[in-house]
Amino acid sequence: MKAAGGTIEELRRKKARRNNVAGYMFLAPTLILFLGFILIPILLSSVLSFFKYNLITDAKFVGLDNIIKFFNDKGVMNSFGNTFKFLVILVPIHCVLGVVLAFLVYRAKRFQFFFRTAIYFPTVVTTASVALAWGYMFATDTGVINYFVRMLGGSNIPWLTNKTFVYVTIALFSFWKFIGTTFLYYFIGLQNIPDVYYEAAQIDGSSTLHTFIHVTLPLLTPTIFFVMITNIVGVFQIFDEPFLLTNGGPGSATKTVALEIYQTAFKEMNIGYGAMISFVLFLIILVITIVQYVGQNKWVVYDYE
Amino acid sequence: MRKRLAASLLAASMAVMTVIGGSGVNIVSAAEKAPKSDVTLTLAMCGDGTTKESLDELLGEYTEQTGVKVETIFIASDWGNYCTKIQTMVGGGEDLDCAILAIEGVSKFIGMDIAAPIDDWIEANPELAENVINDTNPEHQKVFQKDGKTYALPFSFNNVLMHFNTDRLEEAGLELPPADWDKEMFLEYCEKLTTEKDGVKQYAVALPYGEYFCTEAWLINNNGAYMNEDFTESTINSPESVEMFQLMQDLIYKYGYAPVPEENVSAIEQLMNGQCAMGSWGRWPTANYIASDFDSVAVQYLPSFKKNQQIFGVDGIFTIASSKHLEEAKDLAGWMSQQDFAGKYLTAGNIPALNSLAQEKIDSLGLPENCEIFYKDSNTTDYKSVSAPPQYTECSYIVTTALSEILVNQADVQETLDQAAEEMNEILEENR
Repeated sequence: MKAAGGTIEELRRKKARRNNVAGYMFLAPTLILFLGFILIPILLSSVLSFFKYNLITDAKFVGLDNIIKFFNDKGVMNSFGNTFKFLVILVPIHCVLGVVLAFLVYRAKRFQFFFRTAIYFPTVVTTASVALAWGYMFATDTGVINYFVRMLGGSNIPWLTNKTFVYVTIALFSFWKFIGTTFLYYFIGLQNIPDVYYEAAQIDGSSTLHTFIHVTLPLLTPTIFFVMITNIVGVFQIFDEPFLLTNGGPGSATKTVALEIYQTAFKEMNIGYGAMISFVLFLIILVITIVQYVGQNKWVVYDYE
Repeated sequence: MRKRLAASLLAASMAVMTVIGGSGVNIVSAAEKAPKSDVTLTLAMCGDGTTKESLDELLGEYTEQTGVKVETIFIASDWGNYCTKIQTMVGGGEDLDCAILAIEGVSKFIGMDIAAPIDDWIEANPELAENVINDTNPEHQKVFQKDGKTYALPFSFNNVLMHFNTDRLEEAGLELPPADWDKEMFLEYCEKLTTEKDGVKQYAVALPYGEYFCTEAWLINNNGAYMNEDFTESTINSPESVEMFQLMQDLIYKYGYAPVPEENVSAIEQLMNGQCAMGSWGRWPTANYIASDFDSVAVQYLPSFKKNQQIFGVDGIFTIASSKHLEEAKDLAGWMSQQDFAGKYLTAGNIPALNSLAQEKIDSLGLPENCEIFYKDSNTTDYKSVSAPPQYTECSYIVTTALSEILVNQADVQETLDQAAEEMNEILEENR
């Protein structure tokens, strides 16, 4: 069959081309930003990894020196170790407690608005200012937390000066400061679950816990997956909490990879080596994210029907 | 008669013309001398900007004299981070003409050609240069000289003294210790000054945590140092240095005389509120004392663990080599080094590098008690400069991390310092 101006097939192709062009036009702003601020800097950073550069003198090609240095650098390895510790502590806290909080608030019959606001509020406060306040609160001799500990008959706890307790303090701070974002994702996820499932569970006489485990959690897996990905990426890049509360201390007990990169590239002005550490961190995050994406088929439920 | 009248009128008019003409010449000449310049210089200072208003006011005088405008930028950080920021600004092509720079960044900035030599300015302005050169410590001047070139004139300096809360001394029945107090007497003072008040422990001494400069002051009084004098090898693990770091750790964990230092707790605040009776700093806490109306304070030399050897750190106004207005920038740096400017700008805080001015300013402030020791020995060989290699940022990080491991983590002192020395030697290798 031939229509005016060409065959139907030709017209379809024309329309598809037009649609494609429109699609690319819509994508263009994001693509340009992605290229300019993500892809090209990543590529440049990988190139910079083979140079010695301090912003002032000319960059000097050093071949594999930075890679060799990286694998022999105890300080950097320590930073990666600390970052993994934060990963093991903070990701479960945010992923598990976030969903519990969201579920409790979602099911709350009263004061839901108050709880939502209270949980999300710390997220909008400047991290630097609250970290300063937390630093004072957790001071060993003069902090208000230890004041209450002493009132209860205990002795001062070295919240920020002991390499074990410092992780507890940072975890508490991180939970208080950033749980709001995770909570919000879960809360929206819960709102997106159709009520019919809960009604069906109720008719079947399912308990709240049973409903949570067998209805809510499976249907929340896309959100859980998203929260896990963003949290893992976020914790790999953790900077604010250790920088503001401990500056990587005591000693270098809480020095993370992001702090190491900051120290190397922007304080010691060893830009090439800093780029090398950043690139390795990027590769680790990339691999872990790909593994998660591949593995999601086994546990994430996208089909609600 | 008419002729005479006409002649008189002519003479009078000539006289008037002459006067007018003469003043006309003067006016033109004055106009020529009036400052006219469309140059605006950018000056970087290290600090939180509390002195910006007074600095801008003083620089307004400079603008009146020369026509050159000066914009000031205050960078609130320690010297290491300040130097990094300047380096970033210069590397990023920002317009920067002058910057104050302390000893910690001098080698690096000269080595990287960030700083411009000012020998031509000295030659062109011998009187102004001599005003400073003849009235400052040659050791301070040496800091700004390399390979026969001079890069700045000394502006202000600090030594490190022990500051005492005199109320705490009084409560413990103690006087300010003598200038030659030693380790034994120091520990006796610590014992007496460690008490408890309202259920909260009051400590004798706040240790120099995270402070590269103040920590080395303790070491050099014990014949130690972070590194040798030509910055080629670390001496942070020498027996003398180890002994001093061990004492610091013992003051916290063995004797209980010092609190465990914390990142967000100000030791100066601890001294002022009496939680600690002693602390070692330069003259910079005087600004805090004045701001807090705290006058129960006295200073004494650090205990002579092995000898009374004082440390110094000095700063100067540098001209940035990439400045588009080098000549004007050098003039500004030279002007700021003079007694007139320094005398008005340096009140509390750093010690003026000009000996005569230091004495005048410190005595007139009269705070803390015994304050004359801030300047008394500044022109003698009792002063030794803080270790400031071109790799200062890296070395200071190694030192402060080791200090944190020792004071906070209770790590083994010798082991920690051996590791620090190893790391530092790797960095200092390029100086060999």
